[in-house]
Formats: sequence, C-alpha cells, structure tokens
Amino acid sequence: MWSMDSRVYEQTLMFLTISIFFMMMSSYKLLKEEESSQSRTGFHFFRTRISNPKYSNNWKFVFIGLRYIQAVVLLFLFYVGVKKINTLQNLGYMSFFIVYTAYEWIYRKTAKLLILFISYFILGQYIFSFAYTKF
Amino acid sequence: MLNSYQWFGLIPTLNDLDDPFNFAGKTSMYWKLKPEKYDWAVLIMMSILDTVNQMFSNQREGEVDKLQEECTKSFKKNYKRLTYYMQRVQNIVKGLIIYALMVFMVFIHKDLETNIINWIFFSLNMINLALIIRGTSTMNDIKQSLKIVNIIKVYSLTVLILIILFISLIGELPKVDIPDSLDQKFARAYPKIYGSLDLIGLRSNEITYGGDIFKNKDIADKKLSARFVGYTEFFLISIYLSYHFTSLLRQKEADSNFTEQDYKKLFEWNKEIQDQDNSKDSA
Repeated sequence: MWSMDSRVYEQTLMFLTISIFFMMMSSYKLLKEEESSQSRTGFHFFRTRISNPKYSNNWKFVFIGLRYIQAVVLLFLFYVGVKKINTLQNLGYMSFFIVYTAYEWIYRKTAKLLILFISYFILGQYIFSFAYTKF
Repeated sequence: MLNSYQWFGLIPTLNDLDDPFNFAGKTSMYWKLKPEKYDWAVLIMMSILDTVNQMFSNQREGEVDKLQEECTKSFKKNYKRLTYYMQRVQNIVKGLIIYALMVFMVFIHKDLETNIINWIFFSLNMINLALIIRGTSTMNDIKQSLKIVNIIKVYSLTVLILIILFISLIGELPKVDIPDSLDQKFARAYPKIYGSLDLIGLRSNEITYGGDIFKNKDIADKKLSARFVGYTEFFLISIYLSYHFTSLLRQKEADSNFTEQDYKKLFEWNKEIQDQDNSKDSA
C-alpha cells in the first residue's frame, strides 16, 4: 500500500477529491444537454434495428429487456435492504423499491435520486473517516 | 454515539464498532477506507441504468410503446407456434394466478404477529378471498373486488410509510438509556399510546413481554424484516390484482355496451359486402 506520511500531501489529495465532487454538480447542466442528444442517438440505433428486417430478432429482445431491466436492480436493492432494515440506507432502499416498482413513470423521472442517495453514503463515509481518530 | 452514526450510514455497517473503518495498524490517512462493495455495486448499476433510462424517458409520448408493439408483432409473425403455446400457457397461468395470489396473501399472515394493523389486513384479505371464491363475474361483483383491492393497496402503502417514519424517528427498540431520545420524549408525553404500540402493530409484541428480542438484535431485525416483506408483498400483489380487475371491468363494460343495434350493423355490413361481391361478379 502507498504510504504517505506527509499531512500536506494527504490533505491536498482530500481537498482535490472533494472539490472534484462539487465540480460534478456544476457540470450537471452540461451533462443534461448532452444526455438529450445521446438518448436520441441510442433510440435511433434501436429503431433502425427493429424496423429493418435484415437485422437479427435479438435486437428486439434486447430492446424489451432494457426497457424493464430496472426490475432486476430494484430486486437487488430489496435483497440488500431486507437483510437489515433498521438503518437509514436500507430503509431508503426499501422506499425506492416500493415506489419505483409500483410506479414506473416516477422511476423514469427521478432515477437520478437513487444515485444521489447512494453517493451520499459513499461520500459521507469517506469524509467521516478523516474526522475519525480513535484508532 | 457510534450506533447513531452507523444508523445514518456514516460508518461502514459491516465492520465492528471497535474499529469501524478498519484503521488499526495503518499509517496513512488516505487510502485507508475500504468501501462497501454493495454501495459501489448499486452506484455503478444505477449509473448504467440511468443512461438506459434517458433513452426511454427523453422520447416523444407513445414512441417507445409503438416500437415495443412493433417488436411484439414481429415475434408473433416469426415465431407463430411458440407465440401460440406461450399464449395458451399465459391464459392458463392468468386464470390460476388470481387464486394462488389470494391464498398467498392469507398465507403471509403466518409470519405476522397479532395486532390491529395486521388484523385489518387479515379482514380485508379474507373479504377479498371470499369475493373471488364466490365465482360470479358480473360487473357489480368485479367492482366490489376492485374496491377491496384498492383499499388494500392504499392501506398497505400507508402502513409501509408509517413504519418507515416510525423506525426513522422513534426506532424499533425502546431507548431507555437515552432520556433525551424521541422515543423517551414520546413515552413521557403520551404514555398510554406508547404502552399500546405493540397492540397497534408498530412494535413487536416481544418488546412488551421482554422476549429474546432484547438478548439478540438479529431476532429484532428478522422480525422487522418479516413484517416489512409481508406488507410489501400485500402492496405489490394488490397492484397486480387492481390492474387485473380494472381490465376485466373494461372488458365487461365493452361487452355490455354491444347492443342489438351493433349486431344489426354487423349483419348490414356483411350484406353490403355480399352485394358488392355479387355486383363485381355480374360485371
């Protein structure tokens, strides 16, 4: 493992990581504009393959599979969450599972919330590990 | 204190509280934290899914459904025999699954404790089962079943939200050793309601009667999981049943709207076609 004894390097690296995280938020708007054109390209890719009979039928299976693939991930969340419900993280997983399984349109509009929710725990543990000194 | 941090997810939940970040013996401040693999797995999967989701949600209304319909038509055309057998199996399964789900809804109660919330669930499920067993399928009967199923749907969702709020704010186990906790404040403000939480169904009966739940935290977690899974199953099954009864009702309504005049129109249309064919032949 890379050993760093200098606190200056340690803290520089920490601030770099945190500043990159906050820069991610400001770049969200740019990403949003890109997403729209990318999704049109992706959809066009499938439309060509589904409408044209010279392409394999497997593309149709892939298209339908992708449309409902979130069910597999939501079941995974349920499996992870149900083991030990009594934590904020697992309660959140359960709530997402219930709402997103029941109402697909909410999932389609707010799927990014789940990414933010998980990021909170990963980032929270990371920042909290710096403050924790009892070792 | 560390327990609270762990509950809020600021400490990895899989490690011991003595060394929650696995720091012992490590010299570097950086690169010490070992991330939890499930968190990263969910993050990566959801990021990939978000890209897929954009593809479906950014399209014009009905465009995705149209393309899916095209796929289904193509399957039917290319795999006629397979589609035929799948349709037959689907019809048989659809007929049986309603009864299977109803029995399953009653069967779930075996893992649930006796309290007011579960008693209401049991009553609603029994009424629903009785309506299905009756075997009649007039419009009024379907409307009755639909009403009960919708009540179960709304009720189970309300109970699930209530339990999530209760665990988040007050907690599954009493916090007798923390006098400033919301649990103890609630106990002081409303002692009668607090004493009846097991009767209402927000806490396990074993908490009141001092069962094994206090000796082993895993038992408390298992009890809570069983309760939560049960209510989730009620909710999801009721959504499916609500969809089933709604489509059945629409079908019945369409059948009842088909009057004598519509039958006449069919025969007139048939006669017109025959006349056209005869005139073509004579020409």
